[in-house]
Amino acid sequence: MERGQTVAEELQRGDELLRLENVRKYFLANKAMREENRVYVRAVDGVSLSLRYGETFGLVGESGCGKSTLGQTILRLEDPNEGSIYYRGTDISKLKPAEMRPFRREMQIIFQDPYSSLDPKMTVGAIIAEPLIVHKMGDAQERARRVAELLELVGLRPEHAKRYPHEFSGGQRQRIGIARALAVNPKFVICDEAVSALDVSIQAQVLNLLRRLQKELGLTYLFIAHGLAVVKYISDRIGVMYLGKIVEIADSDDIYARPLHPYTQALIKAIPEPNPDIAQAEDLLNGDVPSPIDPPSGCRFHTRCPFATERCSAEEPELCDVGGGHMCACHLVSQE
Amino acid sequence: MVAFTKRQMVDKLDETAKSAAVVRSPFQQAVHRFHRNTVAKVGLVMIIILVLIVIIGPFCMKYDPDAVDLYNVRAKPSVEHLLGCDDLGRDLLTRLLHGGRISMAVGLTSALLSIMLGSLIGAMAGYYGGIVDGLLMRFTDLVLTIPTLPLLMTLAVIFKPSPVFLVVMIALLMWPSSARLVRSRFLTLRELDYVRAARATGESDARMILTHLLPNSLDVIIVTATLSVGNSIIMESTLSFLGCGINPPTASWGNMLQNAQSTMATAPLTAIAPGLMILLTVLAFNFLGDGLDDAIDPKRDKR
Repeated sequence: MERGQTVAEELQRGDELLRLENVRKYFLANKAMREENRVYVRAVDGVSLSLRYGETFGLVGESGCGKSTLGQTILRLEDPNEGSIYYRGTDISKLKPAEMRPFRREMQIIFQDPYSSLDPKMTVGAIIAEPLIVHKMGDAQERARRVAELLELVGLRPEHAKRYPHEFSGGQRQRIGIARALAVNPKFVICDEAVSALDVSIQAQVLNLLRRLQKELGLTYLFIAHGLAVVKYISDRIGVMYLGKIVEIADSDDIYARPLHPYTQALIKAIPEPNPDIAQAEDLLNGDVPSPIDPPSGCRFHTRCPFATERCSAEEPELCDVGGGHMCACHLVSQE
Repeated sequence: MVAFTKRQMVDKLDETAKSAAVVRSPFQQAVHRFHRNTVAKVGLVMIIILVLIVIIGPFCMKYDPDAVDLYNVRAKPSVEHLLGCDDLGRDLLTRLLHGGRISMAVGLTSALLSIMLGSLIGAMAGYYGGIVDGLLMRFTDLVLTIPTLPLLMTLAVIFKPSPVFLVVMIALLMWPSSARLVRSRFLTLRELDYVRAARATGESDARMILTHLLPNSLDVIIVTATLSVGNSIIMESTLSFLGCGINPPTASWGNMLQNAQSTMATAPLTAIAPGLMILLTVLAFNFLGDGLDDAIDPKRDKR
């Protein structure tokens, strides 16, 4: 099996793998012909971040904050309206489909819904072999061997290759989805709410599997989730997203020990407490997420922030380093 | 979480997989569901019988379908002429069988042609979306607004309609409905994660359409094709009845009906026989189409 490098030479752990600069993705919300009448949903509104090889970056935020769109934009399943996406130093944000192909071999995605992510008309073997065929890796025999190898890698059996997706449970399907993503030996895998649709006990199994695979294969994960609980377990660093923008980035431990942004604090308080004797914290978040069509002025969180001042509604806070790689976009924090 | 050894877990997963289903591939499942659908099976059996009759039947008849026999004008049914004769003394049963060949052939081929054209246009519109979709769908709307009968009648006056001409014309006027259905299926499929996964893998458009989108649209295509066979047969009959379809003396069920206008009072079978054949054939195809629709309805699938 050919496993050569397609883009550049070997990476060292800790090297920068992916860098986003001011990435924006807007969706047209109406069908206006004239530009001045058009209304856009600002799903991703200026995101900059960087991922290091071998790490797991957790991206959290409420539904509709743009985290999944960001993941799809990185893979160019959606084309960014603005900004650059550097993958190992190459800007992939404007590449044509054919130019994008060698990069697609290095970046894969695992989807949330294990029911819609596998083609019901194909056998499991065909599904996993598909990326190998597309990237012309090996002949039929080698592919069959690789499929068997991958099935074992994700905790299924080689015989399962002959079956159809409908014969498997949600957790098993998610394993098949993982095997498909790993078929081409990617370096970077986006887990788009990869465990959110699974039962809690299965979630733990799949998370353990993802962790083991990361160790064995040296993968870099962008782990997208809507709650901090799951992300905490698997991530090295965590980014918190609100209404299309990143409000805080910090090491996983740091963000729990010292959440700086009021929104992050609210998310941490929202993690269910398994011990009923401990009183539940009061709700910090009021109201709904404002519409991304017309986001609030200044700091986007000021409409729901208990500490908001006048400055917050007037001036947009920058994401700035508060020490030790801990970044936060909040006027209250930068004042101190 | 309960601690399982890896082996135990694999065993457990395997058990669940085994108990999940007896029937295996999606195709086998569809066959299984079809098998339990009585109406659909009746339709299929009727079609098989009708097709066999019109294929084999003419060989068993001793009469020439176009041979005029003035001694037997409007003859009553007898041992010699089982269904009697028409106004020119031609054997009705012989003409019914030969006409059936024409009507069925025109119906089947034009349905096939129209579904191919419709699928192609629908697939392009649904897959590429945007401007391509807009243009193709407006074109589809345009074709739908064409008043079919007047157009075909005018064309029939200008050109001498041959069966091939009829097939092409019917197909050209019937594809829009299948194009719309295939398009909407493609639009749905395009947003599904397995298609996104294929795109993330870097699959070409052609491969994506052929390996993922088309196989998952096959149910719509088959059902529409089956149902449109009935429509094509009716269309052919209508045109032939109006004198713009199959030209006499060649028999088709439609022009036999037209011919029967003058003989209906004295020889009612000349009208009843072809009418009944059209009815049975269309009914059979509609039964089959509905049955197939139920059998391969993905909503009945446990996915």
